[in-house]
Amino acid sequence: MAITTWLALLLTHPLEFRTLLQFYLYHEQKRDIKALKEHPTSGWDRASMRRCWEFLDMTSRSFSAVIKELDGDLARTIALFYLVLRGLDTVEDDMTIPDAVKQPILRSFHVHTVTPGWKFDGCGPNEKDRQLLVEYDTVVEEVNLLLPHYKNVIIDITLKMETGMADYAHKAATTGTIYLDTVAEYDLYCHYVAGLVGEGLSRIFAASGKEVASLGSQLELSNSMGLLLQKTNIIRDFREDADEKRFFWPKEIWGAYGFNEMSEMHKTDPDTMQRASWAQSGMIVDALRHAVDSLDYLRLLKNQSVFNFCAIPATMAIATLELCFMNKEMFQRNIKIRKADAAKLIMRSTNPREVGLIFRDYARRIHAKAVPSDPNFLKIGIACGKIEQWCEHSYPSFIQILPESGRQELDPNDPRTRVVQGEQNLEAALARKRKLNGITNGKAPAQLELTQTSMSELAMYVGAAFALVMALAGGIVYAVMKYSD
Amino acid sequence: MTSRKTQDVYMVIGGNGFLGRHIVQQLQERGDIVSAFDIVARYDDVPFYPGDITDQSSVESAIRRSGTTCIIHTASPHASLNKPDVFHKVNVEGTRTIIAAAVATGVRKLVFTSSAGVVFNGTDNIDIDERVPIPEVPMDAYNDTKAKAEALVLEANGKGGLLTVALRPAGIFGPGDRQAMTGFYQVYEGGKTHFQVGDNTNMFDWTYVGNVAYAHLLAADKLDTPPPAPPISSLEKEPLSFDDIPELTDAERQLIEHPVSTIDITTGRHRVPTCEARPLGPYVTPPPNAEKIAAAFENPDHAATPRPLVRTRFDQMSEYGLKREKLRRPEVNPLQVAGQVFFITNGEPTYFWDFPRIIWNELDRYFPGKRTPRSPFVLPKPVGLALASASEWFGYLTGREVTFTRFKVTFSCANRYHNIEKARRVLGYEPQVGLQEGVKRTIEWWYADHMASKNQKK
Repeated sequence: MAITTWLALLLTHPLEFRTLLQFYLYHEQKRDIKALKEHPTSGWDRASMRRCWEFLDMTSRSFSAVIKELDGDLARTIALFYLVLRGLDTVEDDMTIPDAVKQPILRSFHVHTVTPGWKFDGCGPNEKDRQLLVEYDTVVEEVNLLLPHYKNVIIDITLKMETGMADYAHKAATTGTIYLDTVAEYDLYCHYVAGLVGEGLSRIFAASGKEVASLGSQLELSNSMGLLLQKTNIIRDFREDADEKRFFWPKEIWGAYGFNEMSEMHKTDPDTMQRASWAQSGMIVDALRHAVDSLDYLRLLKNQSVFNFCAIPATMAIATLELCFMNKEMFQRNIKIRKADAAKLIMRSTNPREVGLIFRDYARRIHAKAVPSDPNFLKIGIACGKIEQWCEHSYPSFIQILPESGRQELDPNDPRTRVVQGEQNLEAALARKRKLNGITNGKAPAQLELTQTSMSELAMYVGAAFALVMALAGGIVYAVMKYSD
Repeated sequence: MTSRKTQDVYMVIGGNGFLGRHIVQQLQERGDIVSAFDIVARYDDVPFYPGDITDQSSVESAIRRSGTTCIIHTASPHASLNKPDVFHKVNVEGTRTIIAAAVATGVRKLVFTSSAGVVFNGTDNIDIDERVPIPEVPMDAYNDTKAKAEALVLEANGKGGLLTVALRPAGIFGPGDRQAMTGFYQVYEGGKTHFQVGDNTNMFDWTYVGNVAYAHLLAADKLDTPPPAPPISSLEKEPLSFDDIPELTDAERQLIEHPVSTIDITTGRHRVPTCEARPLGPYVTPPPNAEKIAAAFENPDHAATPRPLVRTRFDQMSEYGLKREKLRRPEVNPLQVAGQVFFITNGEPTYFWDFPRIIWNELDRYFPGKRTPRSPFVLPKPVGLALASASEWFGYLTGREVTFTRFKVTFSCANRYHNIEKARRVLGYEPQVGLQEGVKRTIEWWYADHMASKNQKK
């Protein structure tokens, strides 16, 4: 970021300047994929893998830094998975490719991905990532070097994804219908383009041994993660997509507010803007439906870098939904969360309790903007309430961590504390009863019994203390600096 | 209903009241024999027995004449009555009388309507479950007497052949409600709907009356279901420590581990598609296992994709929590219905002021143009409390009734929402009518009732 930009930020948004400066100074990169000791897993010693890392930087400004932080060979594997899907997506996105040409490429993309030397130069000159396909043989070379249990996942997901994309593209090309009709159809489309990514990532995490093996079979949770991210992007990218004549909002939602065409939502007269806001609100209610599942998914993760990798997009998504909610600007231009907010989220997204609180904070902000005359008003409140419930149920707020000593304390005013106290009192009463029984039987309590009593009491206090997830903040560097260019 | 099990004959005490009437109607709709016991007759579609629940002989007489095997006791004075002696007489003595009459006449089942308010004393109730104890200092006389009555009911379980259960509904609303709706309409009529006390981040549980009635029927049906494991009081040696308690049985594990999805009756039910369970959508060539994939998606049981259940030690449904509960009440298995209390809500807590705003929105459809749109006028809680104190002083000095009270401010700013997992797992309770639909039905009824009473005045 240029010095003049920093100065402008300092003068116009001093608090944001402070956050970004802190991010720049204190967030350090944990892994250097270029280092010699990393070559066996990062593949930096091979020209083809270096080129792949360059492609990652080119095609994923926001996310490549997080991918590089992943442990062991996960970083390279996920990077390649990303590039394969980006290649597939580039073909799917390109409206200049006629359907007759596009269909066979899409439906065979999983074969092309393991065919040495395959590349494609048929993308339109304005397609942003066309260079990736022009040099796709480089990606193929590296995919073929992956361990089989990673490679098989990537190919399997690519096959499912390409089929779904091709089927939807074919439907659009042959029937002329440009809209998704129902929420179920919308969900299915999002499953193809994003839910399957969630499934694939989960299976790769499980295959690596860095997460539990059962993670790969948690299909509804991993799909919910994918759908939350995809729906957020679809909502936010309304204008950008509309300008390219691409429409992803289901008619079941926006058609309820008197629109026959999605382009009608652009108009700026008061009546249209209000009805468009209701449609926007309906879309966000639908996306929020996946929030609790996503939090459940994050709670299953154990490896810190995997957690960061999954949590950061999720917190970005909830922040973006809040930005879009009741925001009329969204229908006129592309909107984005501010860099300082992104930096804050990256630094905070380190453990599931904190992520839950982030979700809750943004849920409250969404709710604070809700309008009672909105037909979705109550649904918004209930959807946000589910996030509140998840936070309290998973990490009850009556257990407080004193910031000075890190010791845990129970809130004396919370009724739930009285449950714990009741249990403690009961345990003490039973301990006294056990001692009395020992004496009544005419024998002195053995030393072992005393030890057992002490251990029992200790276990009780430990149980009452409740182990919160207190993972230390992992380092993530340069992600926000990437946002700044 | 299997021929093995004899069908219950029901008596709804308070059967002409708001909740009681809904219970009577639901019992009729499913073909059960039901009668109503109340002070005054109001409906002519069921046998009616007039009487006073503090008069044991009249209760016994009604039970015998009706052949009652299951009593559902909903009778209670209006909470707004503010007469402690009436509360005590009806809620405590009346309940004691009903229990005695039930035992004397061989009634097998008693379902008691308690209240979620019995555990509220002004401080936040956040995601609380049934283990939270009754506060030592009650909020008011009404909830104090409800708590005492509830204790009598639980104490009576298993004695004299009687099985008992208490349900704690939160914030009941619906057709027939003349308490909550009256207050909401007064604010609407008075043009004060833009006022808000507190920042509206506190959550509140409301429950549609039809769901509360449904919960009562479930409780009655399941009262005599055998516990999934014998109570520990039946063990040869009394357990004196956590380790002495036997491991959970398969039946217990089944109850606490089968998946319960989030309640989405208002926000909309949609299954998340996966590669193993999804609609087929548009396709050129169907995928392998096409039929299996589509069938799995339509299957209402989610057994195909089990979800992980992560429980903290503070969770009452955790193995640790259940063992603790067994030690606390050795004579009752925590996963049985009899001898238990259950919170009953819609499972859709939302921010406090959202619900009245939905009510007022719905009223706008019947009185278009009555309200001019205004931004919320927000009073912070301390300011609200100060104004309420002043209002109470003014009322005290002038002898006028006070409507703006410290209780109402406390009530408006507190979290009051509940964890109903126990009711969902043990009773099998799921809300049948969502909040949005419930509000619609309520206003529809209320408007018809309002216009009818208006016409009577002419």
